[in-house]
Amino acid sequence: MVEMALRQAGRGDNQAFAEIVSEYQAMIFSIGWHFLGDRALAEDLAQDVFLELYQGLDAIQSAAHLKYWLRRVAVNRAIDYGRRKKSSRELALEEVEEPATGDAQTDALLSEKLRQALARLPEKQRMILILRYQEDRGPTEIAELLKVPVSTVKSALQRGLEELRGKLARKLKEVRYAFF
Amino acid sequence: MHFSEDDLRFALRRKDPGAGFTQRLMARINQAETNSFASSKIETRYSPLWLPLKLRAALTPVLIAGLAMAGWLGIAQYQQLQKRRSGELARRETMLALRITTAKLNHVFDRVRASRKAKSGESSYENNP
Repeated sequence: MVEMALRQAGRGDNQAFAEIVSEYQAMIFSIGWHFLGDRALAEDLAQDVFLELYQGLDAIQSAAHLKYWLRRVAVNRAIDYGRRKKSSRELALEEVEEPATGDAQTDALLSEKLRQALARLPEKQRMILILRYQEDRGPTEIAELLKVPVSTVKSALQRGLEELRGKLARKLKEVRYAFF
Repeated sequence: MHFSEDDLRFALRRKDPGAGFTQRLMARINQAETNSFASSKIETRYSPLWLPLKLRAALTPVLIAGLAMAGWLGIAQYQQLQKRRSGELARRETMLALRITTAKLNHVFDRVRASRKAKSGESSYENNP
């Protein structure tokens, strides 16, 4: 489906391009959102990536190439946006998960804490964790996308998970002190 | 608070940017296309190539008039030069002719003088033998 849409979009069919956007918008937007922690910035980033795709559609050879290209451009742009942002990485109210009941509530709380802890990690570690756990990419592909050695990716993954655990534990202590 | 890799996967699951994202993007693309079309029109109108062409068209009559004037002046000057040269040549020829005539006249005078002298010598011999 994407292959056909790609061919049609290459011939100037905007409807086909809109189909490509619908297919990959969640991937691009989520890379931006999880990395930047800002919904508006993530949407700007996603729009910039798709605009760049629209202007360079001729260079895309296949659906696999398209996915790789989109991911690579999104990662680079997210890092650029992050460096420009330099401000607080607090999550906006609209980004917090909807409250739920029972186990789902615990999951939502944990997810929120994890995202907040992730937002405080160094940019490279953060992006590596996003590519590993959001995009389900292996260390080799992550290394290729970020242009770093595979060993760096592996150690960053290990260190990133440890830091997340440490940050969550500290957060829990703060909550306990606040209550008792 | 402990978490597993699955918890992290769940926390980092993909999220949709929400309704209207595609429409907003397509509107932005259309806007960008309109802007680039307008700027390309402006570029065409005022492009460095186009400007000299317009200038060239405006300057062509002036250039032609200038060239015609220069040609006319050149021809006039050439004709004047030719006249001066032919005058000079005529003067030289006249001078040469005069010199030749003078030389011939001198020669004639010399001969007349010589014959007169000869005649006067004969008569004095006749008078005083």
